[in-house]
Amino acid sequence: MTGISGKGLCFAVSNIKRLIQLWGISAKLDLLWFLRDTKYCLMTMFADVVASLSSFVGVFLLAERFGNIGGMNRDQILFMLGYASIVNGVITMCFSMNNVAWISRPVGRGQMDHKLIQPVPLWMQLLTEGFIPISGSSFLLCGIGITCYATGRLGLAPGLLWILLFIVLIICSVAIILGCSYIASSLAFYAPVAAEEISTTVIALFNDLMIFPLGGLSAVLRMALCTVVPIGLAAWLPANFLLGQSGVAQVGVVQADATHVGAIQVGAPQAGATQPDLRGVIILIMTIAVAMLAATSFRKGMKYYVKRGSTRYHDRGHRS
Amino acid sequence: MSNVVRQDIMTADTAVNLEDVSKEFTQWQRSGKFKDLLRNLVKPEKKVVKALDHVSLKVNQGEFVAYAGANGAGKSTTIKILSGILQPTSGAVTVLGMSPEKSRVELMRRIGVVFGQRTELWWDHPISVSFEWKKTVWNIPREVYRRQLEMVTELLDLGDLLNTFARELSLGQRMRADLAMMLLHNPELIFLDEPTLGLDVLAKRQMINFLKRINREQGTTIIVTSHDMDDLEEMAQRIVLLSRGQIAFDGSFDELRQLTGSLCRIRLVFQGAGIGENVHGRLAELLNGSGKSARLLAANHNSCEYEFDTAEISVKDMLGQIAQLDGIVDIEINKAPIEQIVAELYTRWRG
Repeated sequence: MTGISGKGLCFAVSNIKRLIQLWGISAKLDLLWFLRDTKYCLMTMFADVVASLSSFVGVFLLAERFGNIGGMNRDQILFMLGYASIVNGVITMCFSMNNVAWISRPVGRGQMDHKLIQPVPLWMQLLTEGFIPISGSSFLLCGIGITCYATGRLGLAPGLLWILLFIVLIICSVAIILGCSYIASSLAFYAPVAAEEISTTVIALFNDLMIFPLGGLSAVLRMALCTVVPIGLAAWLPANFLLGQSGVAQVGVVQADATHVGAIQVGAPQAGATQPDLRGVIILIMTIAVAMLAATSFRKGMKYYVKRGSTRYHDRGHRS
Repeated sequence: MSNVVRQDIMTADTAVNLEDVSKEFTQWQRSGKFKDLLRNLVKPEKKVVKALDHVSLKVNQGEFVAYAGANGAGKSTTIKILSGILQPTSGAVTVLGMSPEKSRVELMRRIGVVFGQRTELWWDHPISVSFEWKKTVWNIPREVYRRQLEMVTELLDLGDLLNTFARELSLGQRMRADLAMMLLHNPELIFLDEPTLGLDVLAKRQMINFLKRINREQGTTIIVTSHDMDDLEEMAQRIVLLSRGQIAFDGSFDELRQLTGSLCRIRLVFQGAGIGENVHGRLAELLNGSGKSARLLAANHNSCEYEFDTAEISVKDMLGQIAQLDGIVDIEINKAPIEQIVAELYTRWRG
């Protein structure tokens, strides 16, 4: 028993070591690009900041004008937008190189062959080769800035546990977006031409809709947007859960009425709640479900790929 | 399908072993006609194509094998199966004692693959950066990396290219860089799919010399596919010819020549114009007189070229006949080009 667990530990340690090595080389490639083409790299980063801000400025202006959208006030919306930017930032920083997040592209273009000839398990490649910590950092920094500002305006006093919860929820949201991208991208194994850009559509769907507060929608629609098409889990529900916002309890939980959030004991159920806050559980269960479905469909697709082979090959976007 | 070598026993020095391997692909047949719309939706017509049909092949360590065949014969499919990119429909595949399907990660550390029209280089980085990336991903020990880098830089003349972006390289330079990168982890076995495609004479020569050298000096097993038979003959000791997914020939290039008869070519150069017709007529007369024949391939004002079968008329007899002719100043004897022999075989197999 000890032998088995010792072996398992060794395996885990060696995997972690490999992951760090591979993240390291990806980071080095990115750093070298920054050092060589600093001007262009900074221009790209600046463009990302502009894109990040402009993507949610409309929602923020609406909140500014009306003071409250979907049960969230201006500062809560700002917090949610900051959260959404961090989620986008993590995807950009960790999964954008080599189209890792847009996996239907390499699948549809027959580029998975390049991955199969590397002596690295596929999951490890997908986890590491998209890492661009410098050129891909602007979205994330922007999101962190906005979240900190919103947190201050909301009068929140985040403790360590809250920050940990925040990180876990960010990971869940990232996993949900990537999971949905991978589920859809699995179609590219079977229809490489038709589904080559399907991941772009899925990620764009999340980017466009995740910034809207869903509190004003009907319970059925909100339920659908948190389960069937889990856009609500990308920012709205986790942000509300973090804020202890109760206006979204209809997602599956009934909580006491509260129309505004002032200085809140974050992470804990709001005072006066009649039922436990299950939003965190919903997010976790949905994350696991989406991740499992994505892993299963993608693995099945890969089996099909190595059985049938790819009927087309394009080098576009490969290692560039 | 003659001269097929089949060895069923795998030994320790076996690099590659294919046993009764078949690979089938399904192709959807679409007519594009309105009347077939419903059928295309519900039950589209399928066509099964056999890319490999019960192929058995054994390659020993240290061999340099040319793997050739007409378009669609199954060459690339075999390379993909051997490198774990594709799985066979049936049969057993062993590469360096491992199953490419089950031990992909471990196997990739020991083999190298280059596809002629694809690159493993990072497009927007100098090739030295791609090499460093390879060192990390393949987890190459520092000493091995240093030694291999020195070797490939010298032999492939990469010194000036190491700091050049991959996107700025010519095709020949890129192929050299790709080949160098593939060799950095010192693979025991390498698969090259059309490595000389599109290369100019000089780049091709550099690549051929390099491959021959690593095969000879390091004992690296090499399996190379190409359509260029002259290149293959220069590089490899053994040729495996595929036809319609089956091994149609497995042996040496000399044995391959025997398949179409032992054809030889002789080129005669005359002194002065107007002698050609005379020589041609006289030679035909002489050969006919002894019940032999030679085929005239080409003729111009001061030379002509014949092809003859050495099984029918020996080179000595041929030279004896030619010695009786006047006005000949030079004679050149060559084996028939391998391209011609293979083309003849392809036509024969197709028919």
